[in-house]
Amino acid sequence: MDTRKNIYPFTAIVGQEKMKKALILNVINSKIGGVLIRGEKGTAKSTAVRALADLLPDKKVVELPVSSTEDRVAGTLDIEHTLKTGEKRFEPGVLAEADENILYVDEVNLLDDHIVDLLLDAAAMGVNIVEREGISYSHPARFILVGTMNPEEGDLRPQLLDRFGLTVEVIGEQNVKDRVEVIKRRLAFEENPEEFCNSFEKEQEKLVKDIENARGLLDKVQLKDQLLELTAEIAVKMGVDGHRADITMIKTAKTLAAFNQRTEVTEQDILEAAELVLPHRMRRKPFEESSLNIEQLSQWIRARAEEE
Amino acid sequence: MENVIFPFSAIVGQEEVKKALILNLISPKIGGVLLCGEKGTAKSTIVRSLTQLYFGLKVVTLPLNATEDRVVGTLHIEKALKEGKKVFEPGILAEAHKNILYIDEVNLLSSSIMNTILDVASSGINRVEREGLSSSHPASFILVGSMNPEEGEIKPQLLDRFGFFVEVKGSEKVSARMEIVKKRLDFEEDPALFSERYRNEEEKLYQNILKAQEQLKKVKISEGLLQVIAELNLEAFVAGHRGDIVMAEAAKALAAYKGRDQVLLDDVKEIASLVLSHRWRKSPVNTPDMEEDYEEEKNDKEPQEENQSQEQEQNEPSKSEELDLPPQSELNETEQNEKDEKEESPLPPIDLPEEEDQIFEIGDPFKARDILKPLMDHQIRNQGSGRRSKTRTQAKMGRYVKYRLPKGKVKDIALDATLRAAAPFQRIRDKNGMAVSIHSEDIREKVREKRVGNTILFLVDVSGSMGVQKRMKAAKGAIFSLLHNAYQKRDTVGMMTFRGKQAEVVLPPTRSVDLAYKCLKELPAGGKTPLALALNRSVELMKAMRVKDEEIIPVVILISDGRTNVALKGKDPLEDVINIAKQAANEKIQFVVVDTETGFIKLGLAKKIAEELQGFYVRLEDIYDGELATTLKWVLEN
Repeated sequence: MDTRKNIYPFTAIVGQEKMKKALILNVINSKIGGVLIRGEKGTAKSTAVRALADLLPDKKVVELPVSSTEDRVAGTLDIEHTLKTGEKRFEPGVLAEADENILYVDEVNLLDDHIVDLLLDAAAMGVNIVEREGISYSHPARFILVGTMNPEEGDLRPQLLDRFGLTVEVIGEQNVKDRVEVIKRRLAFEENPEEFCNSFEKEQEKLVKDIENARGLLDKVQLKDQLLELTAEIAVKMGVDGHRADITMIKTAKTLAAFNQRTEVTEQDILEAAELVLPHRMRRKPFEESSLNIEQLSQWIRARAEEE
Repeated sequence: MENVIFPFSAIVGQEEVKKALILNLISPKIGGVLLCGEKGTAKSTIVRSLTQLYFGLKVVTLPLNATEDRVVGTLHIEKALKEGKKVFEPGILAEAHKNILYIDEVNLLSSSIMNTILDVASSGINRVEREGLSSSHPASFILVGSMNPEEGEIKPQLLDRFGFFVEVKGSEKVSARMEIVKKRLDFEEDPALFSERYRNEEEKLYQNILKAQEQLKKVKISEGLLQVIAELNLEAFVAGHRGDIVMAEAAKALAAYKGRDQVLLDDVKEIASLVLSHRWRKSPVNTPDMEEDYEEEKNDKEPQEENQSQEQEQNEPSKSEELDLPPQSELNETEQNEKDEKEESPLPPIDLPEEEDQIFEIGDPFKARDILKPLMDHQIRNQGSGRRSKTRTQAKMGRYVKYRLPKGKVKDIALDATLRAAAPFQRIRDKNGMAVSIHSEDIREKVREKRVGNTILFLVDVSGSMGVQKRMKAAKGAIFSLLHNAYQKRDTVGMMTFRGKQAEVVLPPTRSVDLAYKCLKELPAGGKTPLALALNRSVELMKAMRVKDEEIIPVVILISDGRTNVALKGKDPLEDVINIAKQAANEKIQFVVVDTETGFIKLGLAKKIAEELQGFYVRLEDIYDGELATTLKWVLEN
């Protein structure tokens, strides 16, 4: 039996539009730098990530369990081979497998410090360098980093936080109608996965096509200088660290334009990108909620436009 | 890797970083650079870009998870297994010879590996005595480290080993930010084409470095300037002589870069912040008056300097208008500019030489403090914090850094090291049908390191009405401040309050700011003071936490005036407290008592309790508003 059919279809997920969009943007443009999904349990975070990979033939989800040991993550000396043949050989780990794929870390905030260090190194360079246990080896490790976390269980280290291109905040659907729909679909899926998946076949195909189109269009997307200026001003106004926020905002805005089948970035794209890129990059003070007020930001942009 | 490295010359701004690296390339004796700054400020990009600068220069990256054997080199296992020969297989230090050794996130590197590297860096030779091997090879390299201080500080003794220190910041200017984004996008679109555009500039820079290396041999430094350097280091209370030596080397390198054969005072001024900002200390004899003296003097002289923004200082560390030196004529400078343009570097930041500047002989008027003054504000906090940050761990958790001979029962075998130990004997041993024969003397065990933090519990008196708000404010402020840096120190913070007949955990020990925010928003107050019960509960809670993780360091911070009025078992309330405190003192828990007693008549009960707990005692009045966290950090570190 085709096991792929047993995965809940991406397009069948009710609501959670921001999370879905963030994931889609990342598979259109892998340079965005992944997404961190913050929120409570049972909000279809894992389902969405797996469903997304199922959608695309060229990507798979490589999971990094929180209990992983560093030798399995980075790779290590292949002891068996060495014992049998007397020759050293590198035994690849999770990072090697994740190259060109999606590296998924559930509960990323609970990951051991030294494993986080490994991820930082690899994510920064796109290369995994191994110098341990007598082995010297390096291989490309360009992955889309997708993490989930429940903020009540502790924060993420700032350096790792910054490696995530985007963040989205997810909460369970708040209206009864949607919640009922969630239950209905889940039950229908569990009763007969195949039939359920078939009923979403068309939507799935359309999404795949949209993603492919957007990938094709991405290189052609243009950006006016004044929007570049706007982006830099937003970054300064919001008080972000470093320059990664600016760069990611632009990439995200371009990808949004491509996804909407445009070849020109609009102000709305920038604003939408800011909403995904900035929340986790703003310096937070105690007693302050970290959410970014997008209303205020758009008001400020409007006021700024009037000034000119 | 393929040609995907961002060119050095294309990096926008970050002039201090570029200068620091170039000077090190000219004179490796400077002893490397430590780049310290927030995330996303091109720290790694700049260092990696050096690879492309000229053929043959390699940036050797040391990954954080490197084990000792790969750093220093080890037994060549294939040769040992197959031929029974002991041959040395060189490690990263050998590869780094005559190159750049780059450690990203250097503050997170295992301290034993860091020490090994620093030893080799200072001697220039890597001596290996391990696994029955005895070998040595030259290893002189430029050590470059980068770190984000948010992730934890670096020990002062390590700090001193880096010749230069640069604080890296992002640009706040919109135009610069735009340029950065544009260049990055251009680069990503077509890295090869992008790099090609900078080929000429890179070549020119390389030629300039080569020329400067030649010129360096001719550069002289006057006795007077050496005296200036010594005075600067004395005035900044720099420990040892490394600062002086680095400063002299750096000034010579800068003079060479500018094509001169004589070091000028301006050279020294220009590199002073690179050398001193991380070496600057308080007076070693701990005389606070001297420090204050200086502060006062500073305040008297320049009232506005205090308000000056950090960035401003950053960009112009050696502002000459603040110094008691002959004013520079601008006209002169431009003339000089034109004259030197052809052979000068493509980098605008490095000031051009001025012929009639002072060469400085002994006895020339000079004030060390004037040069130091502009640096004053961006000296970095030079106090130890390493003790808490990393611990050898017994449990099978943490990063494997090296191996050792096992003591007692082997729990965590280091397969690679064991195999290496057994390898040379395989040809002579009887294998009994096994692929490899391992004897018990071959067995090696892993040494692991793990960062361990404190588990801090605030025990807050919320009884009565007098001063409750103040106590809560102090406690909450401290909790948020500690949590805000929790990922740095790996601390977890919790809170227990007591009033009426109960002690209640209002915030279970956590690292989450969000959770603390939720739990501490509103807390009921008022009622009697069951201090004995509270103390007892806090000790129990800490003991329970230790069962979960035996390596935590528990700390209880009691905020109260000590005036208890609810006994635990119907006895005298105060006697109860004293008894419990005596027992608690044996529990390997650190106590801090913050006394909130106010008014004319003081009973001094909190102080007595602190003594029984063998804890640290401080009065809330003595702590600046909102500074409780700072005080606590200080207490925990000492």
